[in-house]
Amino acid sequence: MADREVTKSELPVREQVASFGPDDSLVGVVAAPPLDGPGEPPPGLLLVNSGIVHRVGIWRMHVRLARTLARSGYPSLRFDLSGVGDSESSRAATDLDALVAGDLEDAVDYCHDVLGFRGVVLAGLCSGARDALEWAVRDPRVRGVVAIDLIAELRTPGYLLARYGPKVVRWASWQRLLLTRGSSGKEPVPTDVLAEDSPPAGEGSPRLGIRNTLTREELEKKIRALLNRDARLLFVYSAGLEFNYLYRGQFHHALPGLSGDSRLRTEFFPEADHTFSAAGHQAELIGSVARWMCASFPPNP
Amino acid sequence: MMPFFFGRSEAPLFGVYEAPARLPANWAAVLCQPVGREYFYAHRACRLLARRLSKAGVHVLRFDYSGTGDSAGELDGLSATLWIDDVRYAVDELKDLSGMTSVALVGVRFGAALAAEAASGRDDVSSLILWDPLAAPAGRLAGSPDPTIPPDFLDHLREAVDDPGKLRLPPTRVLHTSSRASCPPELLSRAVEEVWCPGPEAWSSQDDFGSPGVPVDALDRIVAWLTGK
Repeated sequence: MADREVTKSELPVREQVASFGPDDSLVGVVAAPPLDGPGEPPPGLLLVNSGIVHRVGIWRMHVRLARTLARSGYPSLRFDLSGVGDSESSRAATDLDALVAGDLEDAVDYCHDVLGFRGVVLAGLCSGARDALEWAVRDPRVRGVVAIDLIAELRTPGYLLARYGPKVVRWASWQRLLLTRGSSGKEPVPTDVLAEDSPPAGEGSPRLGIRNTLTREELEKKIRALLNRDARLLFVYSAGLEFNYLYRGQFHHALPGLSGDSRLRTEFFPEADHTFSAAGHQAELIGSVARWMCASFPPNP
Repeated sequence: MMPFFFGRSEAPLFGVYEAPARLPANWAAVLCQPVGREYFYAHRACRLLARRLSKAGVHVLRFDYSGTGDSAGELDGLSATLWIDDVRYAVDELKDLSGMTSVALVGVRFGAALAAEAASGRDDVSSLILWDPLAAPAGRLAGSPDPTIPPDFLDHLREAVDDPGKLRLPPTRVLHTSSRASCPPELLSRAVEEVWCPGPEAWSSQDDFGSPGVPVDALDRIVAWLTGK
């Protein structure tokens, strides 16, 4: 029987530990394609922590994404920000934003100067998406962003209909509303009809314990800045941000001025929760990101 | 701190070695972490335990089991006995790194069961610490499917270690420490020392991932017991 040819996708991904930053205090793992391809290498992926979940990502999402992309020809670095996971907190910074910015700058430096990446795509979920977007705007070496469940003010009339429509048409809610108002005229509107559980744009989010929610204007400005230098952008939303995002197409409805630009893609996973905790949902997400990478930055043959 | 890969060349394990902060170092310890979602919650506490042990003069190695964390592979197609072999690889690796002839095993939750199993039949495990030992994760996680562990792999875990009271213990000194439950009588009857450390559970979810508790008292008790201070 003839030997079966081993395809590139079956070869093991090459992984190695990385230490960089101040006193080599930042720790990460590099995932490289099984074989070095000819010609100009494609950009690599830089994975950013979500909150205090260490670099493997929530439910190991970063590890699987890194290995999937490596098999498609894309290197990556997943690492821990200062004070998270295995990285020390040795950087002197005045605030959290400055701390993260310094770490990301060091990480991109390492990707370029040591690992030889030709451009970087930043990717993260939730706070990781925000950190990725913020740094991408500042660093021209960043050629793309994958922002998963980025918290931003994106509610639209369609969102309100999807969020509150079922309650509005529910007879019991109207009955209570009418009866309550009829009795005194001063009673509050039933909270289940007009419940508002979203953090206001421009204010901190105690629910999530993270920085201010991006306003629509701030988000559009950042996206335009990135598109102006021909970056590629993928915004992914789950159904887990029900206070903010509920239907396919909401992103473009919220930011109509950006519609039609093929460099800006969106995906919606209506069955997935915020952390893509179901294995099937995580696999779909990883497949989606991998396809987007291949379409946006075609790998070497 | 030295992160590195070790073990099988075709499927390496990720580990972090912490050298003792002061010499001479008389101890070495392998940390066997929890599995499943508890692994994520407990990561910080395990790192802090390693740090405290290191400061107390202990060589420390913590690592990810096959198919978890940064180690190679996926759980599909693996068996839990591979994890027990992983612990043995880690023991051998730490002996090489430290030059010590024996090590302690510190097992957290299901890691305690793996540590006990790995220690059995070896004469180079000097002591064993069972930190809130758990038989198979399925019991704890009943009704709350763990997205990180395929259902069929849970069956492997049950087969590997079914009951913490029946853990095979090595003929060494053993500490049982717990945040809320007393030591199972089956373990106490085998001359296991017990320390009760009420406090936050290192492996529990607390309001998303924003504020996991670190049981500082438990960390200090473990360090003190291991180093005899």
